[in-house]
Amino acid sequence: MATSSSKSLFGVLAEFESPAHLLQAAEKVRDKGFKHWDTHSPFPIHGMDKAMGLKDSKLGWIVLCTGTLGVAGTHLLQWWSAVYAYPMVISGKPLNSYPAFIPVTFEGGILLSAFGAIFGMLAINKLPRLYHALFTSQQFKRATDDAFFISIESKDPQFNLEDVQVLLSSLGGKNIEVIHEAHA
Amino acid sequence: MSSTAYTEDPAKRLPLVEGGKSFHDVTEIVCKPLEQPLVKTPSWWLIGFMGALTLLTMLLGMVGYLLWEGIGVWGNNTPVAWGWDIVNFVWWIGIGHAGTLISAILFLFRQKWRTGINRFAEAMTVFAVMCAFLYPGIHIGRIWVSYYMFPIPNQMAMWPNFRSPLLWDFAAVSTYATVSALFWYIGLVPDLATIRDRATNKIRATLYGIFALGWRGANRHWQNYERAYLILAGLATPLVLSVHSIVSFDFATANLPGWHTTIFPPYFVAGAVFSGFALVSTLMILAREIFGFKQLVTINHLENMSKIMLLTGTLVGYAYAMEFFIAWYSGSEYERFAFINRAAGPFGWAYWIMISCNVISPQFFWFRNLRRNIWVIFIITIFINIGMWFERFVIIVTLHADFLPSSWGYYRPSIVDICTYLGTFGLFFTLFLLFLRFLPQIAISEVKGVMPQANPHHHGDSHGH
Amino acid sequence: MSSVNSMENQENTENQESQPLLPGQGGITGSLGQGKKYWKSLDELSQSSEYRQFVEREFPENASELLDPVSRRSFLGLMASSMALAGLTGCKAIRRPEDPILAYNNQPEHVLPGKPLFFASSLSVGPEVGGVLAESHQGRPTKIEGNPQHPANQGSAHRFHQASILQMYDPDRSQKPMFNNQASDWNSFMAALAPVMVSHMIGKGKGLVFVSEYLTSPTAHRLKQGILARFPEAKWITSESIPYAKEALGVESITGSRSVAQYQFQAALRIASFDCDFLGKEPQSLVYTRAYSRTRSPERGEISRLYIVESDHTLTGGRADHRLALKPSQIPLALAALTQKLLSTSGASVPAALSTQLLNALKKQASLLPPEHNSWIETLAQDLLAHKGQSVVCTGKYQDPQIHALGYLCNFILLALGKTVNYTKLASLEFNTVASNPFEPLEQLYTSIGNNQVETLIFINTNPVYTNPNQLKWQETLKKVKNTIHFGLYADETAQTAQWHLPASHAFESWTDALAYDGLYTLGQPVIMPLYDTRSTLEFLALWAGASVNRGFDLVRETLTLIPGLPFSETNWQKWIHDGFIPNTESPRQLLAPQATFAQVYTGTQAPQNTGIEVIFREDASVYDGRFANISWLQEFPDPMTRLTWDNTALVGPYTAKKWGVLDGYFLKDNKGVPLGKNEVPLIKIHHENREITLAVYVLPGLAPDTVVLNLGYGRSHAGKVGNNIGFDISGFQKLDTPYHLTQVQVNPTGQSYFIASVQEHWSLEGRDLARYHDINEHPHYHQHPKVGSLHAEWDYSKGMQWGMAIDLNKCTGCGHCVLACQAENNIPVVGKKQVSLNREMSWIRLDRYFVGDDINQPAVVHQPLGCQHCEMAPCENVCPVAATVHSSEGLNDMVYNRCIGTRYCSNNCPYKVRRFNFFNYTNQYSESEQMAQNPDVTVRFRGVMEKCSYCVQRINVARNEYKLKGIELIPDGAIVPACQQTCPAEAIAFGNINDHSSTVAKWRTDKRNYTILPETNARPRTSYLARLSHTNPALSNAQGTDHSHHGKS
Repeated sequence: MATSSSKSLFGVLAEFESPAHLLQAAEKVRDKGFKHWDTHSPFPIHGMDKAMGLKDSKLGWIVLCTGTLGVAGTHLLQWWSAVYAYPMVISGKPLNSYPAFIPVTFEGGILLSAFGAIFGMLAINKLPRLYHALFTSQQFKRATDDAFFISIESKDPQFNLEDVQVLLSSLGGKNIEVIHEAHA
Repeated sequence: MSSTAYTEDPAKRLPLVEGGKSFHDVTEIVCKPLEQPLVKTPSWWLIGFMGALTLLTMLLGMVGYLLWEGIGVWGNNTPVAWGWDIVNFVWWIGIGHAGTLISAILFLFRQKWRTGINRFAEAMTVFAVMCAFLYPGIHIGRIWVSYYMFPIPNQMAMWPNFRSPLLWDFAAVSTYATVSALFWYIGLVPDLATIRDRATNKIRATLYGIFALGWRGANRHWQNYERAYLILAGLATPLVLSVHSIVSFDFATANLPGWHTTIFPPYFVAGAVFSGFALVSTLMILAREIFGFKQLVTINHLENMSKIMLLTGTLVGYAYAMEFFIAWYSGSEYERFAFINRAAGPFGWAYWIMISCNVISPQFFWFRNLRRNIWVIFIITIFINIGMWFERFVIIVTLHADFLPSSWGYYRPSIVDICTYLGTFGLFFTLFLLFLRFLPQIAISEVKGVMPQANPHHHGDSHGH
Repeated sequence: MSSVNSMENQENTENQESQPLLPGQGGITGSLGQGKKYWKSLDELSQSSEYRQFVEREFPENASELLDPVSRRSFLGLMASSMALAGLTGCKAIRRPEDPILAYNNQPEHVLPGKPLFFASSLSVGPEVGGVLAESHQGRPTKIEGNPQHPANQGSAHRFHQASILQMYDPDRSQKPMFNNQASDWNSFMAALAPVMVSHMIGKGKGLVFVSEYLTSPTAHRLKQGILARFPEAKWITSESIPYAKEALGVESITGSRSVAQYQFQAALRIASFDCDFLGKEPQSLVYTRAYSRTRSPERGEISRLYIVESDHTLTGGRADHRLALKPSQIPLALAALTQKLLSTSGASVPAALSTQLLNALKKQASLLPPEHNSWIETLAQDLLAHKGQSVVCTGKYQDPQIHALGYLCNFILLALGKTVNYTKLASLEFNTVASNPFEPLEQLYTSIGNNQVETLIFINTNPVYTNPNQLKWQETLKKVKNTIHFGLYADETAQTAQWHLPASHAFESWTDALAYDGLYTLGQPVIMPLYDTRSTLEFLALWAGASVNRGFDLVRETLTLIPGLPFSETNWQKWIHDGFIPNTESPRQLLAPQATFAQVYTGTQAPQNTGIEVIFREDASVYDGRFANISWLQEFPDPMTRLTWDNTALVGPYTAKKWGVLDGYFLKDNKGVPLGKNEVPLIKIHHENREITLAVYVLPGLAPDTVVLNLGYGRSHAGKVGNNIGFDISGFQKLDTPYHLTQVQVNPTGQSYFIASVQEHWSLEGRDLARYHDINEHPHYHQHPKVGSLHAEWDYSKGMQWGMAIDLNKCTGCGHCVLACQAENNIPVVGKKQVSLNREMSWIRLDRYFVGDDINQPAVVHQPLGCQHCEMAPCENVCPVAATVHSSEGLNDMVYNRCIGTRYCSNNCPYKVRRFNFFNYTNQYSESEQMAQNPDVTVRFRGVMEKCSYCVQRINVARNEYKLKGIELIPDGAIVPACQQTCPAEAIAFGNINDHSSTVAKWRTDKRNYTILPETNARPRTSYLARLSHTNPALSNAQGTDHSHHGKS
């Protein structure tokens, strides 16, 4: 490509015809020991995490923390405000009417857990990210429709433009494309 | 994901997507309607939208009038201090239950048939909860100091009374609204990316692009995404059950005959699911007729929904019967009177409408051919929605005759009550029509995920991982 | 109007020389002692057109857009007229009277800001005189209380007294002289008057006629004498629409002395009332209620037993142990039968001449009484005779003189004289025309007008054009009179037809004196300088009498100097006006003996065999004869028996209503009927001779069969914004010769219906154990709910001062004065007929009225006053999300208005439904002058907040400060008196510290009759009730007397 020289290299993109082919190709790429690569599909393909050799998601731990924070925070707030901040006699109930504090505690826990899950996920995925080199590829648009891709990034230590192209085609990749960043 | 999901052979089950569609076909079917240029907006949509906007305007007028004059413009009075305001609140909240339930609980139970309808149901949930949330906001006497309900440091150094069911209610409903909205939005992200990538002009690409958060279908993202979705489903399930339980505490923790019963939480949840599924079905039937999703939203989906309505409807009927039994068994003359008065008193008509709509009408779903008849389902779901409204009405107007006969009174809604209620439909349908026009009504990525060819091993070999 | 500004002027008592402001800048402030000059400028103001414009701006038509704009706007005087405002702006001045008056308390007249002063004053309603105290905050009277020392009130105030404060501030009161309904002024009246006076002086007063209300004032009488001396041929006529002389004439006919009975119920064990509503509408009801209630407390031994024979269902009937509901025409027969039985007993020291002759007449009458009632009368006679000297017979003021004569005779035979009843002269009667039928004198006047013998006609505080049965005739006739002058509080119906209307000062604006019903010389101080350009009645009379002095102060004082044997001196004068009365001036007790001549005069009212449907006319419990029609407090006061507000209706018993077929479909069904009322009742047409009237029917269980009760005082056309065109005007339906009783009327249902507002639609107890009620002889086993424990540690209320209230249902008569007292004390707004019909009345005390018994034609009645119960485990507190209602350390259920956001959850969760919600900004609707009647110690509530009985926490706090300053730890019992207890004539309410075992309330709580409502809710109310007792006569089968005994176990 004319512009290729002027733009820094991102990596190589190759399409595979079905989820099954993508899965097998991914296993090979994994076995070659690549680190900075990914598969792209319009829907999650089951077994792909294993095929890519990904470690288990850390999201659960984040949610555990935020959830605990929610439970503790809301209960402490209720207890402190009812017992210390402004104690009042209400229906002759004790100041620390903990059974009555349970519902709000529960909801607080749920709310912060949900925040943990959503924003934790976005953080791990480094989203939102409105620009990505792959978006410069025309065929990549089908990645959210009915196409299945493997992209191998140039920053991978084992990356070598020719070898990668050969490898991908040998795995059955089609429309192999070299992706450059949109700008220098 | 555990492999149990794949031990079943899709071929042996009724297909969730009929007519041998390809992935691209699915994308096409779902995206076509919302990719119409604005000038080509179908007239039925415009007419509907105008109607909805008119009602919405009326709602704003009514709320303005209410805030200017005071609660007195409603029919509320001293024995019946809550009227249509709370009836409609509970009704809308109940309707708002199907979405999260379908998304969350059916997801956890690996009910793949949910994929055709969950987006729809979630959208409905979010909008219904918005309508519901309106009422607690406006029904208080001095809305300008409603911030007293929030635990924020204030000049009075006072804090809310966390023992009040109203505060639990407030916490539950706001949490539910937030989580449902997030859940819905996160489910939308991959589909928004699809629309972004199909966009033919810059504006569409930019707008949808922003909300798609730069999604690129990367599996390293799918991994965390699916985990987040699983966790949210896990959180939403107890949440959805808690919300209506807590709403029912508004009544169950009161000491009034007819309100002070422990059966309320389960019975309210069943009722909520009941009414929620009913409205989802009503709207789905309309939508699939209009957009021709017949292959994506199959009669099997509707039949499954009918089965759930039959179940929950019968549960509700059981609850009604049990209330009477307990009232008699309690030996309390006040309880006994309250329930006899419900059925035979001045509001007996409402009670019998409730019974016939909620308990009798779903019984038709025992018959397979009726369950699979679009029109039967449509009519019955309408009845159910009416019946569930009357259930809440019957419960609230129990107030009109409690302990001291001298304080007994009657309750009539004012015209403002009625117009406000109609107005909330304006709010609901305005949002719903906007959703139909501009957002994918079917979860594209999820539907694709459950199509046979999505399974990497679907060529015979089914050795699970 | 920038009321901020005006409020400043009001509050800032130091600023007494504040300069008048221009309108629009905050109203006009007058200063002490400059009243007259101030009035002038006000007059000028009111004329000027820009002022009127400014007024229009002040009261925009659409200021409030409520559901029923008509009634709310109109009665609340939102758009007070420009004249009204001219007066109102004045109200903001500190307007103390010019003459020295003395504070009731021992403190000198120096005013402490924030500390109210109490001034003794008096009020007359017909022949009845009340001695009251006016609570005054920095010169602004806010509340009327009973004068504890005055025997007619003994500390309690009638609702008429309570409400009169609002009447004084009424913006609809006429504020300037009017000539042919055009605004004028006193000077031009004087100018116009001079020639008329001169010509009458020449003519010795020929053709000069004064028509006045019933005079109770000796000074007025003195001036009247002066006038008659000045115009010898002039006539003076008393015009009242409620009978006042029947009893005196009756007693005179048998004893020769024009005396009235002063019942001494405290000494009575057996009371027989013949249509005598001594707990309600009879004179001295306050005194009688107290005396009667004291006889009902079992602590003092045997409790009294009350028999009543009546057609209406009155409060007294509601309290009766045995009630016989008879058609009006049969009541004389019943009394005749009783008298006959008493006479024929041996030992009746009655002149033989009298007894023998009289017995024949009585026999004839008694034979007309339906025989099934004989045993009832017989039993009554036996019971009375068995308690000679401890029994008394009362006769009602609407009954004919001969009935009262028989009543006297019975008391004479029963040796009641000097024990259970005293006969004394009705002193004030001598000031007035004495006629059995109060309309008679007017009728003579009417004919003489017809013969053009009347040239000048002066009406003084009377309104015959409305009250007279010949209303229309009068309007016409008055046009024939050359000069007609009306002097009164309001530009009423009569004022409309008169040439001149002159505004009268309110009793609280003028010096007055009066002879109480028992003759006690009572003095009335003004408590505020006249709000408008008015003259007091005495000053107006002085004008005609050409008296040397013309100021009320001098007139009243002068009268006292002229009374022989009265030790008048400066110190006495000061003591008298300080106390409000002159001690030991009651009329002496008459020792009367029956005269044989009575036998000749006694005709024995011969009732026709078939009287058909009968109608009786009675004064209204809220508006009397219509003179209180413009007081919104009274209009919204629910009639103690019907619980109706804002209306008068034709009352009939269920039996009659069913017979007419108007009962089906309307609110009453049957004992187990639908527990609610529609706000609709049928309209019927009543014909009698050539007269007919269409009005609404309301069913009152217990009314005599074939009897219709009509209450006067409604349907007024010129009462004011509140009172105009509500209810039905029935004066025109009265018959001149028998104004209070009609027989042979025809009734036809019209098929149409009428909109009413009742505050209690369901009248049955549903057999619930709420208002307990049993006979003295039986010991019912009430369902005693065990005290439910609590899962958690409970709060300790055993220390310090813990407030509680106990209400003795056995003493409460249901009179409802407490309701008004509470309203006045706590700034409770009035909401209007439409709002009441929506169950949105605001009254903090709900005076529940239940009918119990199986036969709704013969029910017993229980009244149960219900305010906030101040539960220790208050269900309302728990559910409030913002802690706007919480518990105080002294056990009060505090309502924090400025914290309340109005979720109304507390009201839902209140088992007693005693909480009241401000659905609209009700208080805002008061005109500025009415706002002046509000109690500065109590928050005025805004819309959207909940409110309820606070046990008068403001009074608790006053006492707390007081005793803290004295360094006293525990506030002694009786130092805190809530408004309801203070005014309760029956002493049925006790309030105090329940930890102080010597306190009344603590003692009552240990009574075996003590109980709380709904113990099963475990709310633990601080307000408890003492079960009501009846004292039935075993000799009477349930068929006849009202059977109470089944209640409590139904």
